[in-house]
Amino acid sequence: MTSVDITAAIDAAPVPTPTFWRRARASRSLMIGVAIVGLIVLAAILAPVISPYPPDQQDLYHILGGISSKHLLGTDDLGRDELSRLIYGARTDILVGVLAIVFPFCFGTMMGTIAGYYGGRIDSVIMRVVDVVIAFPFYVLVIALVFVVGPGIRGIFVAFAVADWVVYARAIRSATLVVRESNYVAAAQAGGLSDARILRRHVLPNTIAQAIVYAMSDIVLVIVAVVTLGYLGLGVQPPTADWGSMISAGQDYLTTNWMLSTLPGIAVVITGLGLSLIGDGLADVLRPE
Amino acid sequence: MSAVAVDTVLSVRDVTVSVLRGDVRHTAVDAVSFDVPAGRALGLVGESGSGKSLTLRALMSLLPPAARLEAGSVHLAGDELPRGVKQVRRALRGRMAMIFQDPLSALDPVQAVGNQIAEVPRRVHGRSRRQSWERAVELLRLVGIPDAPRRAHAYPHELSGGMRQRVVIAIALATEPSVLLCDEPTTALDVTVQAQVLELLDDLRSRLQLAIVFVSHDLAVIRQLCEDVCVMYTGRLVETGRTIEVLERPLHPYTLGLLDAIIDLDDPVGAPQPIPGALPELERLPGGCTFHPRCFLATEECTTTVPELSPARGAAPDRASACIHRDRLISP
Amino acid sequence: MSAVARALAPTGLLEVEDVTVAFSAHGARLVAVDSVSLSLPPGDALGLVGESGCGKTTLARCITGLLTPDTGRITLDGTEFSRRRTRAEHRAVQIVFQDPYSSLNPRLTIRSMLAELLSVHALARGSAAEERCRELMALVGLPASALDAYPVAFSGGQRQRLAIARALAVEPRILVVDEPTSALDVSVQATILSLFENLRSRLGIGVLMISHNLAAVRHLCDRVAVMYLGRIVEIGSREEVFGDARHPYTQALLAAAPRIRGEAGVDLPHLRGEPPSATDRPSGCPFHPRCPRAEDICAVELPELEPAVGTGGLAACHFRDERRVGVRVP
Repeated sequence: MTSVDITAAIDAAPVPTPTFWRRARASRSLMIGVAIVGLIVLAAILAPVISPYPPDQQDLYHILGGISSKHLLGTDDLGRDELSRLIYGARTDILVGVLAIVFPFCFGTMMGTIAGYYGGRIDSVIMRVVDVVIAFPFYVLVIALVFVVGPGIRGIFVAFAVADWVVYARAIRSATLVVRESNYVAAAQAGGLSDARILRRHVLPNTIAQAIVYAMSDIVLVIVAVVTLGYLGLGVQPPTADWGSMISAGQDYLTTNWMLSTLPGIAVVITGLGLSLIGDGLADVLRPE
Repeated sequence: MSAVAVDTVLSVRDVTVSVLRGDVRHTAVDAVSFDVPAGRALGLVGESGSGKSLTLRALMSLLPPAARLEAGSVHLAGDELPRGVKQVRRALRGRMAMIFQDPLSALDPVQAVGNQIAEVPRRVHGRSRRQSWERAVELLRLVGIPDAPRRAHAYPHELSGGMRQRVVIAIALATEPSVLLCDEPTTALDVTVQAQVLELLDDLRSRLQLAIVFVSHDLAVIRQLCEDVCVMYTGRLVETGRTIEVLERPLHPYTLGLLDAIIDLDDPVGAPQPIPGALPELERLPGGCTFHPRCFLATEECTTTVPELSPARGAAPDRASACIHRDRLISP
Repeated sequence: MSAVARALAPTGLLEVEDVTVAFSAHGARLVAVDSVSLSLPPGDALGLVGESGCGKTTLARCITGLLTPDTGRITLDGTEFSRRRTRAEHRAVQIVFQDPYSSLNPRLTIRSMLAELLSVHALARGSAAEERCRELMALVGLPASALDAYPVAFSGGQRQRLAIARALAVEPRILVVDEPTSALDVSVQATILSLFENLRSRLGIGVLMISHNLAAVRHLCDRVAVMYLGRIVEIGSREEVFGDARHPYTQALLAAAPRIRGEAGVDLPHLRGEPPSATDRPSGCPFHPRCPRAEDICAVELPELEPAVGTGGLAACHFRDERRVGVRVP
């Protein structure tokens, strides 16, 4: 029999892993992105407090005013304060952006996980449905759905629920296919763990990172879509402030009051940039080494 | 080890490679020197982190981006290889070639293997298409691929692992090198295929008078192919000499430890003895002799002085050890 | 094995009866495991050797319950395993994989990983589970602090030990180890192999060891089975297979294995050709195209695994009764 003292062969103590928060703090993209988006979100939350005026307060004596001491960013064609509308617009667009992706995220992830893990006919069926949805040009589908359901925020939610989940499904399915073949999943199966438990604790935590990162850019996509729909008059309905309709309404005045269209546009860009940085940063941080 | 023998084809002196980890440069290969005469095979053996692969890559100027050649010189048949990647590559053409562990990733999946070999005579030696193809078929025969004219049209995925490795060797030989560097080329192969490939390398060595440097973690494989061996630990050479001698009468406690840890097929029921402790990380190398925390011979001196590789008394000139207590290992 | 261990684990007889596993790939039928039968007595160690494509990994997965055989049965103490194993059936046979870097869930701490198993199988909860986790760490020679860490913090050898701890957590009767040391450094291999030996004697667990490292198999295993293209071509005790191999393939493996002391297989003819693909099976004995001993009958008639004269082992060769010269391993 061996005389090796097993305890004597103890290797060097394991190197401690930096916690998630430490790694998060170390990621510059993530921190900058969070800063940008955080500021915008903060502004949106504090809208009633920090806005100089209510967003729908009209002042027909002071329409299309430029920068002045009373209206820091001017007024629009109905005399409403641009700055206030920008801030309230953030509220609307970000809220819609985040809420609109909740269903696609959850449903898409679930479908992708099931398709990837079980394979076979289930996979075929789910992927064929995905193929059908993807075959439609995104905006055509969204606009058609909004037409059917009716304009406004509800239409946007429905449109995204139907059109947007497929991207998550595909991404998660690919990741699941890889994870399914890994030895730790095999070990979990050999360990007699139920499928539900394996999916929940062993598969999903190792695939969800992709969905989360995509979700960040998806929020941008939603905001842009809301803006586009607003521009087309199908989005958020007046008088609710929203960057899209602001851009659209300001079109006619581009030569005289260029800020009316441009500022909301810049706001969209900055928000998109912030979210992309968060997405990039998360992609790095969530990687398991 | 300063005098260079007359028929030495490859002469490596004090090659030092550093690796960037985080923001700090660490020495991964420390002043490694060896000579390889024509027609002889030298084994470079060590575990992970020994720097054996990095050494080979440094010779070919194929270091990964984080690694850098800090010092050292390489002479091929007396000519010193210039620094600078482009110049080295040009200088190496047709003189030194390298083969790697995974033949599948070394081959272009969308080109027939014959073409991949023929590319060398066509581009390097300027031969015509037809001549190059004939040369390719000839090389396939040389490396023992049956039915070579037909097999030359095959794609890598149609060939087995052993065949692919032979094709890789054929490509390396197409440049008509005098030195062949091998980085664990048989590790991924089945044992019977490994035996064939080792036999092939041995045959080529003597037939073409190739100088071979063979990197492996497997002492038994090195025993099959290499007359000479260098044992590496944490980037330094700890023992060198003729393979048979090093394996039968090691002069360094690490070599001894390795031999005790290995179960040999012919060995009567000896229980493998693990080497105590663990391989140190590159960032936390022990001071003095890096092996001292694991060494049963270690004394105070071992923790402070870095031992030099010095020739063993009364033995062949290239028999050397980097242990100051080597005399205690010599059994009566 | 100690008397105490044997008394505590008198059962654990694994029997594989006529198991066949076939896949269909691109219209062709690929038989990965072809009518394999073997038995593993309680607490014994059986080595399964063979090269790529011989089916040993597929067989291991069947035995572990990760794959269902197409025909045949696998029994434990006479009771057949269900086609889709129950939780209790899974407990009985555990596996340690070859690649230590992909066998641990990177998102779970070691404690999480072990506690989950203990909880799901109702073996221990709360403070009892914590105690058991510490015991498992001690059993594989790792400090208790390892429980708090994630797999990324560990080296290959350490991860392999963690994988062993995980397998042992559910108190299996049989441990299947698939090439446990091929991804590890030499000095670490010795530690892992010693660990297996130690555990086998202390816990009385049966071990099925798949390896291409003949030396390790010879050291650890009481019995050895050699596989070629899905079939067992030779099976016997350690002494019989290594000292008196009766199948030319076994001899070729022994001859080809490089040795530290002495040349490999000086007296034996070298094997020609490559391991064949399972979709392109030769007629008769699948080994005949490469076999130095082959005669006409070999291309026609498939030899059965049968006892050979003068030895206790079985070999699937028409010339099994011949003793091979120069194959003795001291």
